[in-house]
Parts: sequence; structure tokens; C-alpha cells
Amino acid sequence: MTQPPPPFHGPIEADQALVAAVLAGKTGAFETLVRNYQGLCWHVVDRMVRHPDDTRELCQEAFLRIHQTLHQYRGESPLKSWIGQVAYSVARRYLERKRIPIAELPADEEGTSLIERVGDGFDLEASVADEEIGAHLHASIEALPPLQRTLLTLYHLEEMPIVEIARVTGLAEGTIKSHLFRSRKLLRDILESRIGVRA
Amino acid sequence: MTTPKKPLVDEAEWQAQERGMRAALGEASAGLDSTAASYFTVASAVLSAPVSEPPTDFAASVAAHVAKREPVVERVMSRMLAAAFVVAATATVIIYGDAWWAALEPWRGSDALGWIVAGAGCVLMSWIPRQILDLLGEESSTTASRG
Repeated sequence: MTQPPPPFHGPIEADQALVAAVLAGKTGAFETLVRNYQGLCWHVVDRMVRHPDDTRELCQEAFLRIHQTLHQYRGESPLKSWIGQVAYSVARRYLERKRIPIAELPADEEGTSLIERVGDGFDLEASVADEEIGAHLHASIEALPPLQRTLLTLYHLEEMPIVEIARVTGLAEGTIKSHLFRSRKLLRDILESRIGVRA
Repeated sequence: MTTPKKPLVDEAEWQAQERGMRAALGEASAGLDSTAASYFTVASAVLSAPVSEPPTDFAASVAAHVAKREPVVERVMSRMLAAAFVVAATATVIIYGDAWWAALEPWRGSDALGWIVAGAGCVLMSWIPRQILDLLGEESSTTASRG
């Protein structure tokens, strides 16, 4: 005799079930929640703060806060957005405490200064062509301000739609699109200036 | 006369960025124009940029931390609430005690009232300490005394 198929659980239903299990104090439920979302939290915090020891501490702080406030999660949006929002706010507050600017410089200054910063000390001779371009772009991404770096990570790596990024960061969708557009354009300009240098 | 403001996002270039990103994510990359192709390189670099991952014991250590911390927080909060209750109750009796006693003056001679007051006093004297002990987390000792 065949078993009936298990009831379908969409992502939100699965999130709600996991949250209910944590709130009911079910053994291992919170550890499962952390395991499911630790990658997202880590990527957001790491991209914002770029400091391995602090990343661990801040991620732990984010999950402790998530545990304390989990009863406030109403299941209206994916748990992923909610957790991303807590991670982002913990990282942002850390940068504010350290007086590190989160967002970009004015557009005109940014292009020049970023290209100059990345260009300094980069060993052209040591790299072969594609690796050189890749390494140079990686260095350029590292040199972006924390907000732009994080938006690129959420959009490209986590494949989060702009509407969900807006929930995480509290920024308007148009602002996010503008940041993404300018960051990618800047990276393309850097890429083309590199190709120009090589040619 | 003012010149029209240039839009922040050039829609044609945005679409090229999106095509480059989708190609880098594994969707069809054939037929990319030169702009989209350079955005493909940019998107590939974003995807391949070094990203650190959480240590393997991270989830277990956070869960252990929460399990260890939770009763401590609850206990401290309960003790603070119990202490606040005791202070407030004592202050109330000190401030209003005389007035309450004076208000009972006309009936104080009545036997019935005396027994009612004594009974209520006994109930309160046994109920209040039990509540305080419960709040202080000494449930086990009160359970034993009930048994």
C-alpha cells in the first residue's frame, strides 16, 4: 500500500512551523533555525563589517536577538527577510559605533577614489590575464562601501529580489536599484579601465 | 530654463546588467552583446568573490548559549519583579496602614469582623509567601510543603 503524500508546506508555512517549534521549546528547533539561516546572516554581517572575529560575535548577537523576539514574527513575510533584517541592523549599528560610513561617497568622487584605492599596490606582473581581472574586480568589490557591498551580495549571491532587500535594509526599492546600478556600472568602468591598461 | 534631470538608472543599461547577471547565474549566455558581456564578467566576479562561511559548530554553540542563558535571564527578571512587589507592598502599608486601621475603628469591637479579618489575614499570610517563593524559583520547596 502506498503512503499518502505528505501535506504541502510552502516556505512561509515551513517557517511558521519552525518558529512554532522554537517557541514551544522543542529540542533542537532553534539549532535547526540557526543552521538554516546562518549562511545568510554570516554573509550580510561579513560583507558589512569585514572583520572575521567581529562577524562571529555579531552573528551570535543577531541570533540571540532573533530568539528573544521570535514571538513577534507574524509570518507575513519569509523568515529569511526577517532574519536578514536583524543581521543587517546589528551590523549597521556596529559600523555606526565604529563611525565607519555605511553608504557611498558622492558619485563623482567615488569612481576616481575607488579606482585609485584598488590600483595601489596591485601587482600586475604577478597575475595572468583572467585571474588578474578577477582579482582586480574582487579587490574593487572589497573597496566598495559596506552598504553597496551588502546589496550586491544579497542580490547576486543570495538571489534576493529587490522587494525583499527593501524589507531587510529598510531602504526604498528605487534607492536599492540605484545603488545596484551604480555599483555594477562602477565595477564595469574599473573592468574596462583594466582592459585598457592591459591593451 | 531648467534642464531635464538625468534619471538615476539608465533602463537599457540596467537590462544589460540583468542579462549579464542571469548569464553568470547559469542562464543562457549565448548572444550577449558587448555591454551585457562585460556585466557578465562583473557578475561572475561578484559570485566568485571570497566569502567566509560560519564555522561548523556555529549553530550548536549559539543554541547552547541560548539554552544556558535563558533560565538566568528569567530568574533575574523574576527576582527583580518579586523585589519590586515586596518594596511596593511594604511602602503601601507604611503610607496607608494608619488610614486603613482608622477606617476599621467603628467595627473593631465586633466579634464577626474580628474573625473575618483574622481569617483573611491567615489566607494572605499563607498565600503571599508562596507566590513570592514561586517567583523566586523555589517551586520545589512549596510543592513539598503542599504535599
